[in-house]
Amino acid sequence: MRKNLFKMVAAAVLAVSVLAVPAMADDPEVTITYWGWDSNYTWPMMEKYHELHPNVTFEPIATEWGDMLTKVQQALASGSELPTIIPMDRALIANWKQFDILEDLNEYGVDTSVYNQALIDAATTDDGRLIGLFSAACPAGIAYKRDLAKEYFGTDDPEELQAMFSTYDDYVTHGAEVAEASGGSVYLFHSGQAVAEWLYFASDVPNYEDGKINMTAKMEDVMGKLIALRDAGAVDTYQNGTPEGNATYAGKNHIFYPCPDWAITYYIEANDPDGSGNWGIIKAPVNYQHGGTAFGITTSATDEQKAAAYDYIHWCVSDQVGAEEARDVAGFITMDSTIATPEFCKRSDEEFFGGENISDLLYQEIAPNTVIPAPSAYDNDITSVRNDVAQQIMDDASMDLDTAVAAAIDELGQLVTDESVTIE
Amino acid sequence: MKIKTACKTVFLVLMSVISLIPFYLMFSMSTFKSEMIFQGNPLIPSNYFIENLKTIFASNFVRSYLNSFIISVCAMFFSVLICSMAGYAMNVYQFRLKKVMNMFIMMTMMVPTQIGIIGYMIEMRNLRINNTLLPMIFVWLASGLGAYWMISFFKTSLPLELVESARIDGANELQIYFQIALPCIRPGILTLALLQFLWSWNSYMYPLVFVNKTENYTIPIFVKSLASAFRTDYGAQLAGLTLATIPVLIIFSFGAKSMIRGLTAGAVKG
Repeated sequence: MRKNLFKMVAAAVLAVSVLAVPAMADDPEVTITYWGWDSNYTWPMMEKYHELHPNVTFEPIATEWGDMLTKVQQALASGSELPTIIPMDRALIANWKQFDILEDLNEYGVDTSVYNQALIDAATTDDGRLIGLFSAACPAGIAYKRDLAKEYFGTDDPEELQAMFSTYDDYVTHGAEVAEASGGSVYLFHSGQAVAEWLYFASDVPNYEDGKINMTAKMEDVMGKLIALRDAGAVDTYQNGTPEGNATYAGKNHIFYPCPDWAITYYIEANDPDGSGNWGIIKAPVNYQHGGTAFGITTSATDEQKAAAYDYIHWCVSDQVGAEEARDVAGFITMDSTIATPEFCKRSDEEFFGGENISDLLYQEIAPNTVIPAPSAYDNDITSVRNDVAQQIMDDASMDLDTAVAAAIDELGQLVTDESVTIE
Repeated sequence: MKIKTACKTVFLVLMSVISLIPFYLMFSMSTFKSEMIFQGNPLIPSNYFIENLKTIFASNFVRSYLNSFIISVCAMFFSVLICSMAGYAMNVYQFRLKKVMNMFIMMTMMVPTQIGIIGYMIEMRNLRINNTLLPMIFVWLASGLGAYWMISFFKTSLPLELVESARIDGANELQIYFQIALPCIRPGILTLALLQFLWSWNSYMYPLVFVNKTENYTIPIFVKSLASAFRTDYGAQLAGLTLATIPVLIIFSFGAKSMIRGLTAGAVKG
């Protein structure tokens, strides 16, 4: 009896194999080329997709985001081959729109109604072409160290801290108190650049309107708050993103860190692996999103490549398996509302945040309530100037707002050479 | 006098220490586990170097290293050969449009490489070699600076009477070039070889636009990708940087004397 059962199972397996192999062999072999950064996310995603679709092979080339435009521009000018898929940082998406090298994803039948509308708008050209799908919304809050919060504010409870830090002025007031209590050794924030980055993304001042760059208004909004925090002794002078600056995550001298959801994995947990249980997150005074990368398909790719590339991009965002993979390998939560249910968004690392329900905070409270200013082709230049001026403000304690704004306008003037644009 | 010498020595030692500290710290920090780099004293090496190396070797490092080595050695060898031949020809032979040629060589030095890169990419694409290492080698071969340098060196170091004597003795042109002319400009050749190696080893722009396959990665591209691949693994990043710097340091250490002799040759009128 057992022998017969074994034979039957073996026969069934063989039959399935015989039937399955020709079906897979019918799928055309496709190679998708890709230039881009963040190999911690893209490489595993491609591997997983290849596992499920063995006929699709990926050839990824690591290209830092700052080099992407240069590499593509040179390839375009020389008539060289472009990759099948191009990642587009949010700061540069308006520049990509100008190239006219990307497929309109609307033509692939994508249902944009299920996505975060602000991100769809950010990737849509004036004539309605959707040039990319963002892999994730990036809601951001303010992370804090519980031990330091308890020591200086008397509580590490997120709700109580939220009430204490509901306005920008609260940060200034409490920052001065912390500086005084610690004798100037403990700060609210580790880096002026990090603070400026947060304030920039949280600012509702549009960068560009009707042929003019609103540099004065934008910088007054961002740098004015930074200078107030600096003068209160609330901000240390580390440069953001440097190894030395990142080492402060595990230190005892800085309480708060502006924190988009991806920074939880990439910065907090990575730089402070022993800090489990000692972190919490509260909302910033204004809900905001920080970062995000859209993936588009080049028009020069073959039809087979385009079809496979679209299927891959769509799989990453709108397929249950792909979205789970993105969540599990990089902590990216899809912007597809049909998948991103509260259960799906439940992060596995809440224990790292003392059991706080950061998933609901980020994806149910913050993400739906953020506004993304319309991207402009000058965002990358403005970002670069913002970084420089923020560091100047931190290095020169006497630098006032007028000087900072003037320096920002002057520096931007050297980067923006388009005479049809005015900087005000 | 003694005080003056002592002051000079102290100053030189101080400058050397300031220059060497970043290199030392790079090596020392590469021996730490990432989380410990800024917690311990980075001046005293730790015991995590092998682990960091394992991380690096598990990536595309060896291939990138080999590619860079092939590119740099080929660029160095052929560039020196071509430039020295140009220098020899411009000094020893009389031919029409020699002055125009000389001016052309000078002009190529004044055009920034970035301007010519698109044309160069079109050329390589039409030759169907843009997905190989060759474009990253060829770009160093016709070096205006190298040719100009060799012309100057031959002018001051190779007496034409020597060439004439060799011809009378029955030597052919290749023999004269290899056995008589080249030894006369040895410091110049070594200097140019070193510079070509360093320039091609550190070149970022050409690999950036030409590398479209993982198997063609070079060290600068690999190093840049380290920051993304090992986002917070600074120990591994620094180990990669240390290994990337080693060939340059070795070559410079061995060739520093010749290089300085080559750079300063002709500076003092004899």
